[in-house]
Order: sequence, then structure tokens, then C-alpha cells
Amino acid sequence: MERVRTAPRPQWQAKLDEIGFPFHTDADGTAYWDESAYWRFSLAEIETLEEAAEEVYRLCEKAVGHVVTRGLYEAVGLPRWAAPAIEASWKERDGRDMALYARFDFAWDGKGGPPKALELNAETPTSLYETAVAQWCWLQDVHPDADQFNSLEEALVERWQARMQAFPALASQAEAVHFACLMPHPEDEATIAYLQTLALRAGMTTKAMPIQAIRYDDASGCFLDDAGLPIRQLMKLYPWDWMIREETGRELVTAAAQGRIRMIEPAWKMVMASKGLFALLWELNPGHPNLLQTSLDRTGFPAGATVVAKPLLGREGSNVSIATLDAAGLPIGQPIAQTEGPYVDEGWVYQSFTPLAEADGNHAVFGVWMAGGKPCGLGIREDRALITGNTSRFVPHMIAPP
Amino acid sequence: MKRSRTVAALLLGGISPLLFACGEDGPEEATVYPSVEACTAEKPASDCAEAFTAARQEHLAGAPRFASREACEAEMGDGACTPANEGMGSGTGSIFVPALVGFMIGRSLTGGYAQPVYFDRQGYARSGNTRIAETPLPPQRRDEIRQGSGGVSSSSGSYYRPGSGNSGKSFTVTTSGRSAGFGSTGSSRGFSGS
Repeated sequence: MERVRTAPRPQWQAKLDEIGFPFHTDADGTAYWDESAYWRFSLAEIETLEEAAEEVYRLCEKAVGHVVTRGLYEAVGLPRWAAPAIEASWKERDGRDMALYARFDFAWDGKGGPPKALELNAETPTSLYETAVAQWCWLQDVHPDADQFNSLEEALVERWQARMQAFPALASQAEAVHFACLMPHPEDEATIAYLQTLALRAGMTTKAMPIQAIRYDDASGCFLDDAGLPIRQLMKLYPWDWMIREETGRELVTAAAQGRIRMIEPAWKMVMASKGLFALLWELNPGHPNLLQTSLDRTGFPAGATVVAKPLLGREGSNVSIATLDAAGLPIGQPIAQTEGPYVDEGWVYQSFTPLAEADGNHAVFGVWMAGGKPCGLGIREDRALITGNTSRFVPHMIAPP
Repeated sequence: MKRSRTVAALLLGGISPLLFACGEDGPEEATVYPSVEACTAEKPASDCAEAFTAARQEHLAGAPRFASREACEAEMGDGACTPANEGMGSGTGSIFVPALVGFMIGRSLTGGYAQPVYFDRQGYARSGNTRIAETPLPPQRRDEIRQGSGGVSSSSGSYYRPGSGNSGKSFTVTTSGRSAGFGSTGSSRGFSGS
């Protein structure tokens, strides 16, 4: 793999605006979309990433099953009372409570060692449109004959089609899928509009609405949309572990457990989305070549080890710190890097530090997209800092011989 | 090939101002005017003209955008779409938007507002990417309003133009119910995924 510096397309901002991606520049004027470089991979390298993602996803599914069958919810930072929804959905994970998508973050420098999975963003993965559309259009513009690890859009349409097969009422358009996110929130609204479009292309009836406008009817036990119609299927770009702690969270758990509402992602995904799952992964698969030593207990690392601490239910690279630990698991000196944020309440997970791919002072994390259990795309985020966050730049990629 | 054969049925217009998301605190009713004339029957002419101009600006900036007429009609209904460059003076000619069928004047927490309105395939009134109506309008009524707006029925310019056909009457959209309370955590934390 190689980071290739290149001239951005003339009027690249206008091109991104035109394809519906006005989020290319951050509020402070720095570029979020960065086409002053791209990452070039060989096909063999992409296949290595694909195999690693498929393998670790399979292990993640087994670990979720381990949590569910043994009731280990505390270990992943979830309240036991959410179990009815999690367990009911887990039983139907191959059908009516199938997963839609997820995004791995991999660290890999391609210099002989295997890719290492850092985490799985299993519920509300960001950078969907950048990956599926913006970098596809970029490639089409600059290297139309080159390939890209990016069948994300097609794979998601297939997921929606699979969902329609599981629900005859969706296929007959007697029922709709509601799409909800926080509004106003231009980026999330754009993401659900895109997902909605793909569902529409699969043949579904869809309705978009603000998540704040969802209603609950105590008499029927149904959640209602802003038109007062029952919500049977809800695609929410909003974390489960927040919803269950909000006003009608317990009602949601009950409704989902009884199949009165089908959620996308299903409730079992909140187990898969917990960073604590990676501690369990290591416990179940110690020494696995695609995993890093990960634990809820920071005393288990060798003295002098560099360790990353992340919140169990953290997001966007917030509240992450990297430090060298002594034999007692205490940091030696100041952290090597750290970020601020609001996620300080629900416990921590500790993971061996491994370097990201690095070129010209840029650290790149490789986001491998999954549709169900199948790898289907790559989105790369770069930062000058060691910790990737929500302002880290998106850099496109291609598959081409050196 | 490891890439999709094609992408982007929807070219996202994206930004949709929120009208009814705040439950009891937000406005509960707004009147939709299919023409400036329909508006001036109820409000001062200068307010109507100003609101129409603002709604049209909003429409140009924020209407959902589609890569083809088919993709647009799939969501917004047969005959409900128009090329984005008509009346916009820019664009590539291959982008489609729903045709404006009217505009709203209302009250919000931040003061008055004016919003463009169109219908989707299910008959719900929408503004930007936000559905604003509680109940869908029947197809016949939609057609009446569209014709009254001079929108899709016009051959030369599919956008609403003041004075072009003014038979439409105003109508209202409303919301009601008990809030489920979702979104409070993210609203306080500034959620943006992971």
C-alpha cells in the first residue's frame, strides 16, 4: 500500500456539492474530504483486509452469542433489563432481526503483519456517503479504469431486499420502514436520506422523520410517527443504548421484545456495538492474529506496555487516551495522546496500542464496511494525531498495481 | 470488480429546516398557500410576496435532489418532479427536484418562517427532506393544489410562479400526540455517529 500525493480535482468542492456532499469542509475551514492524496492498494492487500474483516465479524457474532446465552450484559456496559429485546432479536438474527451494516476500524501498515481490528462500529457507523458515493465519484472522475473496494451501495440494496423477503408486508408495501435521526442535523439527515433511497430502490415504502417526533401510545403499546400511524419498522441513526435510557426506553424494550416494532439495527446490535465486546473477543480467542490484547482490567498488560483506554460506550474518538503502563497498570508520566468528551460514566476498555498506517505524518485508520456479515467497502480516515476522531479527514483509495 | 456498477440514486439536497420536531414547544399548525393570490386572500400582500420569495430561495437551496426523473418520481410521485436547473440558472441538467406546490407561513420559536412545500408519493406534504403533514392528502386534492400552484402543470417553467393559475385554496397541516422522548441524550451531546 502507498499514500500517493496528487492534485485535487479543479473545483472539487463544487463537484462534491453537486453530488450532495456539502460536508467536505469543516466549520473552521479545514478540509474534511481530502483528495490531495489517496491510498493505493494491491488487490492482494484488499483481499487480506476483506478476509480479516469477515473472520473478525464471525468472531464478533460468536461473542454476542456468548453474552446473550450467559447474560453477561454488565461486561458490555448494558443494563440487564434490556435483555428481553436483545434476546428476542438474537433469536431472529438470520431473519426478521437481521443486521444491516457495520464498520470495522483496522490498523495495518501492510509490512508483513496481519491487519488488527481496533473496534467494530456496529450501530451508527459514520462516513457512509463518503465511502459509498463521494469516493466512487472521485474515482470515476480521476481514474475511471481503476478499481475500488466499494460495493457498499449494491450490498446495502441487497440487504434491504433480503429484509423485504423476511417481511411480506414490506414487499407488498402494506407497511413502511420509518427512518429517524436527530433533526436538525444536516449530516445525519443526509445519511438517512441516502439509506432511504437505497431502501426505496429495493422497492420499499419509506418515511423519514425526526427521532424527537416519535410518539408512544400507551393504550396500544405502539410507537407512532408524526402522522399518528404505527411504526412497525424503524431505522434509527441513533444509538440503542441512549434510546433505552430515554423517556420511553423501557416501552421500547418491551415492544421490540414482543415484535411489535422491528428495529434497524436490531437490539442485539447494542451488544456488538459495545467496545467491551473486544475484551470478550480476546478472552475467547487469545492471541488471534487479527485481534489486539483487550481487557476491562488494565492490570493484565506487561509492564511498559503502551495501552489505549476507551469508554465502553464511547463514540467519535472521544475520551480516548494512550499511555504507557507500569506493572500495576498505572500510567507512567503523561498520556502520549488523549481526547476530551462526554463519555465518562459507563466504564472503560483497555487495548494494546498498535500503530496505524503512517505516511508524511498522517495516521490512517482503515474502515472496512460490512453489509450483514459480508465485507463490501473501505473508507479511510486520516489524522495528524494518533487518535482518530470525528474531524479526521476522509481520504479516498483505489486498487491499482504499483 | 470490487466497486459498485453505479451509485447515488439520490443526490442529497440534505439540509432541511425543522418545523415540527420539538413536540409541544413547536408550532402545531401551519397554512400552506399554493399561490401568492391564495395567500393575499388571508394576509397582507407584502407578507405573502416576502414569504414566497423566502420559500422559493429555500426550495432552490434545500429541495431533495435526485439523479434522474425516475428516482425522483419513485419517491415524490408520478409527474411530481422537474429538472433542477430550470429556473435555477445553473446545474448540469441531469438533476431532478420535486416541483414546488406551495409555501407556508408560520410561527416558530425563532420567529416567523416561510417554507416550500411539495408532496411525496404517499401524499404527505413535505418541506426539504422533512415530512410536515400529519395525514396524507388524497390524490385528487393533491392534483387540484398542483394545478392551482402552476407547478407541474406548467410546460415552460415547472416552478411555482406568482400569478400563474391561482385557483388553489390554502390548507393546513397539523401534528399532535405524546412524545416518546427520544433524542434527548444526543441533543445534549451533539451526536454524530461513530
